[in-house]
Amino acid sequence: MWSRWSVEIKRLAIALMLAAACLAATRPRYGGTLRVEIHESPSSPEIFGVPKGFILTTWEAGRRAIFTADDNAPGGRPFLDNVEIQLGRALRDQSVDLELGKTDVVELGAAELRRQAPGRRVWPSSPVRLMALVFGPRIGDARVREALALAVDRNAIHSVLLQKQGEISGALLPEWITGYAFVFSATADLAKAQALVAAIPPVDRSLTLAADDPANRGIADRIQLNARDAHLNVSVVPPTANPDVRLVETRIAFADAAHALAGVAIALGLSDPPPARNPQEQYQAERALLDGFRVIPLFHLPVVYGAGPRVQGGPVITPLGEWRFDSLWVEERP
Amino acid sequence: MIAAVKGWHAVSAALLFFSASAGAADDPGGAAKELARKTTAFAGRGAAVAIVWRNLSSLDSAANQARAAFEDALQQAGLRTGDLAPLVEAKVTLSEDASQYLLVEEASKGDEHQVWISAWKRVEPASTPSGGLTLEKKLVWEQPEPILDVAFPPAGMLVLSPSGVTLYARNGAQWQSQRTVLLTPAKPWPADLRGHLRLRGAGFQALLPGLECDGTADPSLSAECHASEEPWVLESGSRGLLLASFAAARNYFDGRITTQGGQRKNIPPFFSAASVESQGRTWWLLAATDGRIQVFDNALEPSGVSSAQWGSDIAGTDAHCGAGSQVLATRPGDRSQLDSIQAFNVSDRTPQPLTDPADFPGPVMALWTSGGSAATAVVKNLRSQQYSAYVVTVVCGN
Amino acid sequence: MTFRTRLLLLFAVAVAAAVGMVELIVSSRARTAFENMEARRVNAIVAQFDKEFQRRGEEIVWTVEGIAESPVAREIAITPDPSAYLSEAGTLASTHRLDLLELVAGDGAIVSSAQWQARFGYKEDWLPAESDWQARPAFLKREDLPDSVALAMMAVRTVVAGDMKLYVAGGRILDREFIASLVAPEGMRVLLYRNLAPAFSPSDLIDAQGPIAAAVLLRPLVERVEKQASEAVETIGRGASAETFHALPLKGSANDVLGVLLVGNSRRDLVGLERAMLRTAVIVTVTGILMAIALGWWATARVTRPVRRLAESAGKVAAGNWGTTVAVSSKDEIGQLAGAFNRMTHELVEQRERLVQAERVAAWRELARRLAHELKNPLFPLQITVENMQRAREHYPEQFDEVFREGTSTLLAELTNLKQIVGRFSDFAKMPAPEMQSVNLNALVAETMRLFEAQLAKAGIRASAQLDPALRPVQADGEQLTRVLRNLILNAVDAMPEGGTLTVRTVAAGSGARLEVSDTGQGLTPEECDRLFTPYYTTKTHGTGLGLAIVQSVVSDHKGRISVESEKGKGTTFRIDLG
Repeated sequence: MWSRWSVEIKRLAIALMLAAACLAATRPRYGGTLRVEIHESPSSPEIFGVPKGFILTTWEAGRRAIFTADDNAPGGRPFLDNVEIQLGRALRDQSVDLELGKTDVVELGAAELRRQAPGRRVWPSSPVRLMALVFGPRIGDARVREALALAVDRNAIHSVLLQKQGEISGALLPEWITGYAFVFSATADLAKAQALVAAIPPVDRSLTLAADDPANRGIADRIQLNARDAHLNVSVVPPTANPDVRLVETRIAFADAAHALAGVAIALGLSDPPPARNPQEQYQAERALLDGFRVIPLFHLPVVYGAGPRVQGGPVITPLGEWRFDSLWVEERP
Repeated sequence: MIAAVKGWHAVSAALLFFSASAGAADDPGGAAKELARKTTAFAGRGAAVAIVWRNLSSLDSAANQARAAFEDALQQAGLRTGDLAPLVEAKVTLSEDASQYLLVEEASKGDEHQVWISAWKRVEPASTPSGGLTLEKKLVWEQPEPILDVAFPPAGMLVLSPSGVTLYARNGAQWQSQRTVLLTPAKPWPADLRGHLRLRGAGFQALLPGLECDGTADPSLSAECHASEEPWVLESGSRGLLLASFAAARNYFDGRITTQGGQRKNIPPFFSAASVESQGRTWWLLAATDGRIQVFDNALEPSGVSSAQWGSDIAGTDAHCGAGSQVLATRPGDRSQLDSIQAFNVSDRTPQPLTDPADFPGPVMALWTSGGSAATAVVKNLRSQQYSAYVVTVVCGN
Repeated sequence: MTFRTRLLLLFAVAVAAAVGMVELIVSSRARTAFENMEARRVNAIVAQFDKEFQRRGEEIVWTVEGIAESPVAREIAITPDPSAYLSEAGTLASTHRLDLLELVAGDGAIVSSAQWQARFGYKEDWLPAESDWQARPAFLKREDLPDSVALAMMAVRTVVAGDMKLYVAGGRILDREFIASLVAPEGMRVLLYRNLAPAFSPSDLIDAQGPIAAAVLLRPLVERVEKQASEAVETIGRGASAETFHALPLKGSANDVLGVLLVGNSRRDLVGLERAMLRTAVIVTVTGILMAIALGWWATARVTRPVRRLAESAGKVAAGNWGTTVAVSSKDEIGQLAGAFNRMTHELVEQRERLVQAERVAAWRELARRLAHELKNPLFPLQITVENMQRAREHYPEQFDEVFREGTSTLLAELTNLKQIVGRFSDFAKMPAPEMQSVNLNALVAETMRLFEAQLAKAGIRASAQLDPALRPVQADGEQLTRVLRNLILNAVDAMPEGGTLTVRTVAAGSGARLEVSDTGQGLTPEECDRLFTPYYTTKTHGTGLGLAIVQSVVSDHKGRISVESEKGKGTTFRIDLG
């Protein structure tokens, strides 16, 4: 009866127990507050998406939002009692707060991602942020717009400023949604850009550029330099100065191509795309929106979040980048 | 993160009458032939076409299939491929999105440029369960909906799920569903829902947070359910018995218990409990919510903390393989990992493993004594995402 | 001193102080404005500036060398992917207090630029063109910035690591902050002309505050220095505003004049200015004080009268007359305050009534909750005992007899418990109206204490009865009063588990009587005293908490009053006044 017991089994079991000594119970823990920081600072809670399983209980514009677990949420009350989100916190400060243990979940930009300690849990979404240049009505000459599109050196910006995060794109929707984004050209052609500008009257070669998000100021400065190489006179101004062209970011909120394209068109002030029944028509609808260079897509970037050691469960976001705090709980580590 | 939700409602309204992906091909060959047709029309019969292939998708064999179908179709249409002086240059890319695969052709004839796209739908691979190992374990049921507990009255098998209690009866080698009593809780179930089935003679009791059902399975399934904050009866083997109050809208017992001797006590909150016999005495082990295994005597007076490093689910058995009785325990970890169950003796608050771990294809979501030397374990298969119920039995051997 | 007088004084003092301070400062400035600059002193100072200029250059060289020798510079020189260091120049420049810093690879491609971060990857061909930067001192250079061109003092050093090279080019911009750091004595000023445009540009002639006014007056001097590339002296302006300027050329590495430094010495006579200022200050001070007194007199009268009326009404509310109102005689802030006051008193009266009602409802709820809780607890042992007996019968019948014996005794004990709980509630509910008769309170106390003798002795409690012989009989229900005394004595015993002293006292109080029961037990906190008579409130771990509620009910039926005094750790005294 005892023959199958052996010293080796006991030793192995003890070793397993010792190896597992630092882990806590398997069941999620109820309670606690998850501390999150983001760099955006929306003006009203209506623009804010409410995480599943929570209700908004405190809104201090520009400062913070607090979501409290909804006891009647379908799928059950989340494990967390509250999620407190600090608004308008610069990416670098978020990274420092995470290191110091002052917060639990932060956004990670390209520079911050590179500086993360090994072993840090990082959740990137699929590329769901479109970064693009959007022209205002004042620039009526399509040659100016096309020249700027050809002047932008996406490779340098992607390699250095974005630290190779996301992907270079000439399309409005990313490859993972459409499967044909690669068809839209994203290659710079400085010679062609210069030839176009040479044919434009000098008085029309000046335009102003602003980055809607101050975090993208570096990219706007680089685009200004690229434009100067093509002999376009671009000045970077604050977003409130009614610029001729804006460097914008917009979120893609749907995984379905038709809905995603319609959403992007609305966000960028383009006309509604016609309904598409198949990928061919979808492609043609997207191509039609990009004709005339009113919008110049540059990159598709993921949203990336990092989490501190208190955070258990996860992932924090869906592939579309939506928060999933209902699958998280917090544990105090010794 | 702020989702780009401005105007999303307008988007939804505008797209009400869309039907996505109409006209998709069935397979790579069909998609390739569609493109070949368009290429032929663009180039003209007898023209020379230079083709460059690229695969950006996760498929291997389909790429070759599509390429072969495409070139065959071109040749059947009289076009020449691989010519040194082509009239048309075609760049064909195999790509994919979330729901379908795409063949994208960029064709150029002089200054004229065309792009065509054809697609076929993805098919999800079939999942296969895995299995097999050390402690004697027997898979008794599997279903997509979460399983909370399983019991075996004389009439067949009862399965407790968040939506209801279902009775299955044997039909040859298969279980066949007979009837389901639906559960209608007053509030939504809490996350990490727990539930327990108890057999009482000819009847059964189903215990869930805030809800209790009393019913019978014979001659047919019937049950009456009512809102209840009454304590649950926790059994361990055939002898151990405890009344414990379950915390409202939570996943643990809040510590208010009544002992077998009728005494009411307040102890730290816990996830599960098991009684063991050791050196002639009965002890209670509780997997507390702070991650430790607390030890109590038979009167539920504290006797210290065990050195055991176990998960949140433990169950007592009547198995007496050697000195004392055995307790089954899961491994500590989080729900993203595979789990295992092992049988232990406990002597002087120290656990000693008696068996190799019995591995499971996912985390153990529930572990309940089922009487005798066995316990019921519910596991979530991480690959197939199905829930499986096992009966795990401690077999003493020779 | 009244509020009005204080306000008045405050106005007057504030005005006097402000004007007085201004006069003091102006006088002080005027005094220091007296300085006659001599030509020898000016020359010496110009020479000092020249030296300082050179020293700044050496400082920049030393700083750039420090950066070039740092580990991070070497790291950047050898790294295959310099993109991670994009913002390094900015950080280094900030740390080392440089305005400009570029880290440039051996092929001239910018790795990182503090002044124009977006220029990464662009070439600085002038750096590789020079073979040996290590020996070069600081030099002036025109530097392109994103929105302008600047004149800077620069230094360059090279980092060599194997066959990899990195250029470190750093410097400080010659701008108004640079001018400001060249401290000129009073009556002198330092200007800098930055030769950044092909023709004379007035906005490029700056002092410590930025572009100067009337820059064109200096144009001839500047152009002369630029042309001759040597120092020049000239007096500009006439009369009291004349200044003498010394102009020094600032040359670049190619010996081209990139800037001109000008040092000016004023000739103005400031005495007349100081006298005029003093006269003005005296007039303003006197006028100000007179106006402050007049204005204050009128303003304080307007403010204090309605405030006084409000204060009187607030006093009435504090005395208990909550229905007090104040006449609203204006629409300004005082009138609004009066209106708010009236609304407040009205609200107070309404809230008092609501509060009384809410307290009643809360007391009933508390009773119902406690009843449910008390009755529920004995049910669980009953349940588990029956379950246990069933399991034993089914699974281990050999032990069933023993389990049955233990189980039934538990059942009987809990049933008894249930009966006791029900009984207590029944008693409380059934208390009858008192039957009044003439009662000798002293005899009642003595008799009751006799009954407790044995129990008190056993508990180690010394009993003392202090009975007033002058006490006359009172109208009361003797049986109920006995019950009251028993409850109070039992409470006292419970409060002294280690023993102590129990004192029962009677005192004649006019036509009535006072009964006191004191103990030397653990005492009560003020919060516990407040809640003591609430039905079902108890500080004990056992009991139903009805005892004191019964006491209060009896006292109330006798139209008496009960109160409690207690000090934590010292003891408690219950006091009942009858008649």
